[in-house]
Amino acid sequence: MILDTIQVDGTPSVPEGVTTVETGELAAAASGETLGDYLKNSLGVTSASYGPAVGRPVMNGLDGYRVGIVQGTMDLNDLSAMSQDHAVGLTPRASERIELVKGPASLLYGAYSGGVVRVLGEENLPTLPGKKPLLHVGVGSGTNGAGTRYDAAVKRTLGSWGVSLSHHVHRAGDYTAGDGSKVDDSDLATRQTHGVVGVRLSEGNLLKVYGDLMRKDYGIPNRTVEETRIDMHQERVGVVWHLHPESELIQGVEMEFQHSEYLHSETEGGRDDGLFGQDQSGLSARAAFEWEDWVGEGRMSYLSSALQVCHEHGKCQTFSTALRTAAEDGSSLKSYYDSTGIAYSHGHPMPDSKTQTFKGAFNLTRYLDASSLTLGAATEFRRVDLDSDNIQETWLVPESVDAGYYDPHQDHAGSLSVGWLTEEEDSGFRLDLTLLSRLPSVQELYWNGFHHATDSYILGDRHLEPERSTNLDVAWQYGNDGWESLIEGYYYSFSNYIYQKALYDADGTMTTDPFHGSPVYAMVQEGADIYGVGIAQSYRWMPGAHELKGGIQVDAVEGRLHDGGYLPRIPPLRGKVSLEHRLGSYYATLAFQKVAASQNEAANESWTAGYEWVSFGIFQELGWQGLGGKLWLKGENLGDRIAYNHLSFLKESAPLPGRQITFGLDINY
Amino acid sequence: MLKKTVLPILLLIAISGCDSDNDNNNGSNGADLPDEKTLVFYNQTTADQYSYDTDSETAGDLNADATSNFYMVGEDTGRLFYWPDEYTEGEVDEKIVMLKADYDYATDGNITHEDFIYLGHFHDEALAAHSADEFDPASESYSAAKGEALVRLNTYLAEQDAIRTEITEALETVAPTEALCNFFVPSHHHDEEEGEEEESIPHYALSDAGKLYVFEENTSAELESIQSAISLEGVDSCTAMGSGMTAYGEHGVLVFSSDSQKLYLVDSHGLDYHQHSQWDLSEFMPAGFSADMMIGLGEGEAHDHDEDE
Repeated sequence: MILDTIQVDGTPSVPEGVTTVETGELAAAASGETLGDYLKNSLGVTSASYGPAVGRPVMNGLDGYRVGIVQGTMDLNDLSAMSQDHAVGLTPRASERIELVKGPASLLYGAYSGGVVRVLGEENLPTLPGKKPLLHVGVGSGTNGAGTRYDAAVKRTLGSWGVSLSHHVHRAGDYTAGDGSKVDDSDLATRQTHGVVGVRLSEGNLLKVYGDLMRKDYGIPNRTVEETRIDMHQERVGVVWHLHPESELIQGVEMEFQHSEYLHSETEGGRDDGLFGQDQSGLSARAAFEWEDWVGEGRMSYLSSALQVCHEHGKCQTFSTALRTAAEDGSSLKSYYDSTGIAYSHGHPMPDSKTQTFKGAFNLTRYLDASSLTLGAATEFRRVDLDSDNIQETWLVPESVDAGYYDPHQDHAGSLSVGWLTEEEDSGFRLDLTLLSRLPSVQELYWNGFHHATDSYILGDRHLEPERSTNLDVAWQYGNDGWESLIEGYYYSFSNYIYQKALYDADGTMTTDPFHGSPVYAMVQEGADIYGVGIAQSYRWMPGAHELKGGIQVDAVEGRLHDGGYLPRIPPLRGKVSLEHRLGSYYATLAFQKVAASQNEAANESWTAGYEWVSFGIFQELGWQGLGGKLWLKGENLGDRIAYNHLSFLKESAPLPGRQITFGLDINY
Repeated sequence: MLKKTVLPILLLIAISGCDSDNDNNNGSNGADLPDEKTLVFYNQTTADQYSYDTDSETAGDLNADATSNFYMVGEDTGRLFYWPDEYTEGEVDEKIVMLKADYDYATDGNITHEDFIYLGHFHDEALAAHSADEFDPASESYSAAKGEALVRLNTYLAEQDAIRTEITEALETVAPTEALCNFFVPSHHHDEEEGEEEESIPHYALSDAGKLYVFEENTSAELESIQSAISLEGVDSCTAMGSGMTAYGEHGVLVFSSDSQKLYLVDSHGLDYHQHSQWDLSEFMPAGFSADMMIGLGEGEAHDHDEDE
């Protein structure tokens, strides 16, 4: 049945391809309110933070477009993979569950070598809320930029109708780093409202309509003298149809239509210097089926996405159409191309684009006694139509520089995966082998311009080929007499890894752009390997009424280019020792984490110091005459150490927060 | 917009729950033109003329007072001319001269009170004007100081004429098919420290194709182009009576084109000059006003490229 997945409680467990965690559990352990904060305690997952408002999960050293984020069955409409300063377009606390999907199962949603983070809302659950009304109120507040959080949710089912409504607010001011320095522009204000109305049309036939409003206004703690901010809006409406037909073959169907609009403005000193908008409409159908000894899932989706980008100092209040005169198209761009060999532009960095993508995928699992074999396949067809009307006349790409630059772009890709899972009484082993082909993003193909977030000039390449990789994931789990062990290893070999490569002049000096003197990076494809291992070991013992659990966790990953050198922003070695104590309704955790200094930096990448991080949490579950809830107190970076995130482009101007103490109360009725 | 159609209850909650969100950092602050400039725009056909103070972001109608020496209604057609008057060594008083449109120093020679309409400059904080009649030796208002001012103005006109010739020749070498339309050379106020090499002064030239060229003197004291031509969005032609330029710091210039009715900021951050920003005249001038030409007073705010990029 769809959505029947393995529930875990954060302990090492059977290494399934899909790991589902209740959002509340992740929230309790999270150090912040971003998706990266929620997931970074998982083995192999780190957060590419860019201040407290931005944290995109990095899976096994893979980031950006190599990690998919799916909301229900639809690709999340945001631009967080495009640029490190763009926040993920969801509030994880507003979701019900979060899945980490790897191996053949991940192909259902696309070709993501790092796997898929699937965030499920109430609309994605195949049931109506319970008949007993649920009212939830939560508040939390903390020191040093932790800010204040309010949550409210109500769920009610009456007859065949159900309703769910939730509202989440998080506001925080600037924080202070461990060395006592204030990190300017690290404030944020987030709110998200989510509503779902469901109706059971008949037995096994459930329709849910949902709407969602999200806004995130946050500072970018960069080095610019004037304040840099991003104000993000996202609206979604959709309908999900959960069907469980009386069929031996089809076990369940989940169809979803969604329309969403995303917009964020970037200001510096109050001037509207950037504007990014993406309207997205999509239809997805996902089905679970069973045939003789085989069970499987299939998914087909169509997504239409219209992207607009504006970059012009003080003039990006709205998107605009550029003026046209009798002057030669692209005269300035051509002039630079003729004199430097690089078609530099100081106009809008991308033409408007409309991308239509069709995806089809399935996986099949055959159970063999204590083992199972899963096969997965996915294909993707895409057409990109470009509209250069937004590009200033003088910065158009003329035919003499690149003929047909604005012609429609069509490509396709296919991926295959095989997974083997074997489970004994006290152990389990999983092996996934995937041949993956990822279509380059529109930004990787067509971006040509300055990039504020990284203070660099980025040259896209519209001739990039689909990125191909052979991915091997293995996991071994053992549990006996209180001992739990989980070892995960992975080796991803890319034949044409897409990354931004610094350009150099003939005399060996780094090429800089003619407008800002910033380093120039070109999107290139080169062979690269990313490999690593994650180990989690724990021991649980129960003296009397007490339950104690001690654990260690180690993550190591490395990324190398085939021709020598290393990949940038690879998570440094990290290790964590933790202790948990539970007694009745009381629960406490204490953890010490050591993140090593960076090693094997990429060319031009700076070294990052290591740090120690101590955190604790004390939770008291409450229950009184129908009221339930939790009272909690948490602390992060208790040693008030200065800590730099090697994965962040702003690691120096925005160290991680110093000591933070937060407390809160969640009440359910 | 989806926002207008999404479930009203969500909107209601979102608004009621978050009325104090951080909304104060979005949107532009007026036209957000560079600070420390006073711009004057003039329409030759209607005689309309307005000043605009970029610090206070206020526009002023220079024809609002019929008794003012600025008043151009009924006057001969004029032409705005910028004069950084170095009235004593090292001291400059920037002035606006509304020349008569048919006056040309190259053919008409030294200027007299009959060749211009008014001469404006700042009296303390206020922009004020002297009528050309005050510079008539027969006038009761005439003074020796005014006579000396005309002498200095003629000296400046002669210098500008020589610079025009220089730039025309320099332009011919890089764009032989284009002719000089307008030019601007900022007056040099920067005092070099001892031992500091004197900075080259940029010579901005607009061609009749609407392209902006930047020249600097080489070691032989000849002008040479320092980079390729800069195209301005929506501009493919230029006339001397349909354009204007004024300084923006030491490495920038504001360019006005009557064709596009836009003001362009072209500057460099120590590197190539490029169109950095643009403003429609309608963003800061009264509705319905169109200009033929522009000049500006003031150096423009000190420029820190870190702030802008």
